[in-house]
Order: sequence, then C-alpha cells, then structure tokens
Amino acid sequence: MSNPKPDQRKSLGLWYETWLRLKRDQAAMFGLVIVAVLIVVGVFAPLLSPYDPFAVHLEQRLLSPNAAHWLGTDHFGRDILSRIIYGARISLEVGIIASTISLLLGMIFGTLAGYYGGWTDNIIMRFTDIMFGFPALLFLIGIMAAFEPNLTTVFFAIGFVSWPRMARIMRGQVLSVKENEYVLANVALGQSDFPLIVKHIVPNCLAPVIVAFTMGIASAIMSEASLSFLGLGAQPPTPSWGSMVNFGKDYLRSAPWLTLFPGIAIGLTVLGFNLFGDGLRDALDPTMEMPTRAE
Amino acid sequence: MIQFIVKRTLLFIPVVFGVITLTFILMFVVPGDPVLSMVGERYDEATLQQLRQELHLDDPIYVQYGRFLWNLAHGDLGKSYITNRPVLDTVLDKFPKTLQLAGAAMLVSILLGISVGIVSSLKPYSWFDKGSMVVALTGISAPVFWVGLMLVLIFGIELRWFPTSGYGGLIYIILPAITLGTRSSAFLARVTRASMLEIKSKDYMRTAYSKGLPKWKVILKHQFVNTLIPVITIIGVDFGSYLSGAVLTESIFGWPGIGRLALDSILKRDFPMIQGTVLLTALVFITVNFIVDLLYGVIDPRIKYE
Repeated sequence: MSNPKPDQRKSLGLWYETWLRLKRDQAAMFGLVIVAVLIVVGVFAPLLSPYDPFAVHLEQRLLSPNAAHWLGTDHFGRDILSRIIYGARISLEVGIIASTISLLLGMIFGTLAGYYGGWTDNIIMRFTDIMFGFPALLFLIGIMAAFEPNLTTVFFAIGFVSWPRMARIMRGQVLSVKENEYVLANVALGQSDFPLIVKHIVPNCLAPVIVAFTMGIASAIMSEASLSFLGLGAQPPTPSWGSMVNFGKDYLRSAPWLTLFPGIAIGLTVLGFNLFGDGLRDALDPTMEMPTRAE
Repeated sequence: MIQFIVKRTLLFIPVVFGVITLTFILMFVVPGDPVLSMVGERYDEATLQQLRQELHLDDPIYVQYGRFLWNLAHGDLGKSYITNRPVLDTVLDKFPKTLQLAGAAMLVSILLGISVGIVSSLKPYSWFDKGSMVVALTGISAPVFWVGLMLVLIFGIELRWFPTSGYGGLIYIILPAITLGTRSSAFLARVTRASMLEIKSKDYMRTAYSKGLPKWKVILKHQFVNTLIPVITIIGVDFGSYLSGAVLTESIFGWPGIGRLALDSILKRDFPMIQGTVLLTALVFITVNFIVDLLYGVIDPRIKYE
C-alpha cells in the first residue's frame, strides 16, 4: 500500500484546496489573468501610459490609430491608450469600493436577519424585497439625479443599490450555519451573541459571499460605465471608460475608435471578473447554492 | 391553487406599498429646490413662495405623503414642471413603446437563447457548444450601450441595412431589439444548456428512451419541459434588465419610450415626471415578478404545496 492512510493525509484547508481546483479551470485562470493585468495597469498607470491622459492637443485631434498613438486620439487630441490606462484605475476603484460597501451592508443586515429571525428578519427581508422592486439602473439614475453626479456619489449609490442581494445570500448562509453543533455548543457554554457571530458564524458563511463579491465588482464596473455613458457618473475630464464612449458616440461615423476601444476595455474587465467568479464558485463547492449572475 | 395565489398576493401588497413609499422618499430627500429649477435664472422670493404654496411644497412631509397616496389612488401623478401636462398621460403615452421594444427584445432572446442552449446541450464540449458558450460569455460581458453603438456602426452606418435611429415601422425596431436582447439571450443560452445537461442524466430520461420514444420527442417533451422553471425565472428577471437597458437603448436609438423619458426628466430635474416614471416602471417590474411567481405554481405543481 503506497497510499497514505486517510488519517495520515495532511489537511489542506479550504482555501488551498479551492486554489488547486481553480488552477485546473482554464476559463477561471484566463479571468484571473485579465484581472491581474487590470490591477497592474491600474496601479502603474503613470509609468505605463505613453502620454498625459489630460493633455489637450487640438492640432492632433481625431487621429486614427497610428505608430505614435496606438489607439488614436480623441476630439481634444488626447491619447486614447493613455486614457484607457488611467480609466483602469477608475474602474478598479469603483468595482472594489462599491462592492465593499455592498458587502459590509449586506453582511451586517444579512447576519442580523438570519441570526435573530422573527421581526428583525421580517423587516430587513421585506425591505430588500422593496429594493428589488426597482430595476437596478433606473434606481441608480434616480439616486444620481438626486445628488451631485461625481465618482464618490457613484461608489455609494452602487453600494447602496446592490447590498440587498448580498444580504439575502448572507442570511441564507447564517440560517444554515447557526444550526450546526459547534454553534449550539457555544450557545450552551453561554457565549454572548456578538463574539459568537464574529468568531463562529460569519467565517463559515464566507464562501458564497466571496463569489458574490467578485461578481459584484463586475456589475459595479458595468453600472459605473452605464451611468458615465449617460453623463450621470464621472464628469469630464475624468477618463472613465463609460464617459469616453459617451463622448465618442458623437464621432461614431468619422472616428469609431473613440467608441470601440473603451468599450472593449469595459467588456474585457467585466469578462475577467465574471470568469474568475464563475470558476471560484465551482471550485469552492460545486453543489452550493451560489449567485449566478451579476446584475 | 387558490390558497397559493392568495398567499403570494398577500406578500405582493406590502411590496407595492413599499415601492410607492420609497419613491416618495427618494424625491423628498433630493437636495436642491425643485421650484428653483422651474423658475430659471431670474426670480424673486415672492414668486418662489407662491409657487411653493401652489405645489403644496411647504406642507409637512406626512401631509405631502398623504396627499401623494390620495392622488395616486385617483390616478393623479401630478403635472410635469416643464410641460405642465399630467404625468400619467405622458407616461401612458410612452410606456407602450417601451413594452414594444422589450417584447421584441424578449423574442430575440428567447428564440436565440433557448435554441442555442438546446443545440449546445445535445453535444456538450463539441465545437458548436464551446464556440457558442464563448460568444455567450462575451455577450454577457459587453456593455449594452456599446453593443448598440457597434450595431449602429456596422449595420446602420457601414452596411446601411437599418436606420440608425428613430421610431416607425418594423425596420426601426430590429437594431434596438437586438441590442436590448443580447445580454439576456446570452444568459438564457447558458442557463438552458446547464439545465438541459442536468436533466439528461435523470432516471425518467432513461425510461423515456427505453420505452422507444423518438429522440426529438424525449428532448422536447421530457428534457426541455423540465428546464422551464430556471428558464422562466431568467425571462422574468430579465424583464427588469430590459427596463434598465431601455434607458440606454432608447437613448442610443432615439426610441420615444419610458427610458428616455426618465432620463430626460432627470436631466431637466422634472420631479413629478421622474417620480411617475420610476414608480410606474417599478410597479410593472414587480407585477411581472409576481406573475412569474404564480407561473411556478402552474408549471411545477409541487411548489404550491411547500
């Protein structure tokens, strides 16, 4: 017998095992590469971009892609490649900050609802029902109209609109985890609610929440792009990909590259996070009820 | 069945009420004085005061809320600050056009999504399956507004097959419908494929084959019918994305629907109109979800006993 006995095998831990499974998933790895490239580009934007993304050169406006300007120039003669590189920063910021807001709100309310049940649960869940009653983008547009349209508002608006999804996932997890014997044992030992929730319940609910967080980044990036496309998100001269498409569309006939490239950047980024999220879901637990899409 | 419908309806009513309330609150917390946006640059205090009184904007919030509900119950959503037309008339005039667009998009997504999903599932991991799933993933990740602009560029500007914008005959709806339907057809293809594959290995499939039924009959009557729950869920959920996507699609194609109305009134800060469009859209959305919910009971009788 060359195989080690089961009790001699080293326990790998959930995250290491997940990584081993994830590594075999080509699509997920492709997604991870896109995400990694995006992060590198975003972090090192000043080093990577060939030109100043804000520098106006009217004599060089609407140049088609060429050796000096690989992706061409826009209506102010700004280098599109440099603006897309800086745009990666904005998309990453929006994705991470908005999803974190939604994660925190969702985890807090989801845990409260799942753990305490009864009226707390009822009120929180009915509120999420109401929030789900609004088509997401319309809700966002409404919020953006009410407040000053800028990136900070975008972070909070997207976070606020997307937490109910997270709360539902969290609640479902808490409901099943709190029935486990180790939780009951702690209750029997007289541990009070807060340490019990933080130490024993929340850590065991994280897997689907992390998947939802990854997908949430994709949908936050898409929402920001849509808002900026409508002129309700990032304001000029911020090089947000969505607003680049917005200004590019007026030159669709004469200079389609203004629209083409930022759109590809948005699509690739969203694709990357979606592929990675999909893979993560399958790797964590193929049988688990998981969020399947970013809205 | 009746018990099931009653139970669902009881859950539906508080949501309707909540949506109405939240719409009211959203417009109430808006910073900036709506009256200022009405009078423009030149105004004096007296005119402002008079306008506020006429619009009852100086009443306490609960009075305004009460009046809002009362008027709503009588089908009165107020008048536009800009055109002075009743909001309900404008909204009802635009809404059918958005429904047309959403209907056409749904048709695109069902025809394309379900058929690609079924064909993919028949030979999983074949070149057709792999190819169409890559296309589907791209379709899910591409921004709606960008897909629309690319369709305009290729089929409107370069090939001149379709008009680039406007509202009219059948030819005008094709590009907007594809734009709006792309994402959901991509998603539908993936879900149909996944559930078809899941059902393939069920015992009743083996039974159906072994009693000698022709293959197409097994696939349609035993396999496909059982994918309907997830498929209809997606179609229902996507209705909301149509209403959201309509804002983008309609603004690209100059389609005179509710999405563009919402966007226009937001840019003009026409509060009663914003309130009306948001409220009506949300009400339609939750009603569709409600109907989908009831459909579950019809499709899968096991559900209503839970």
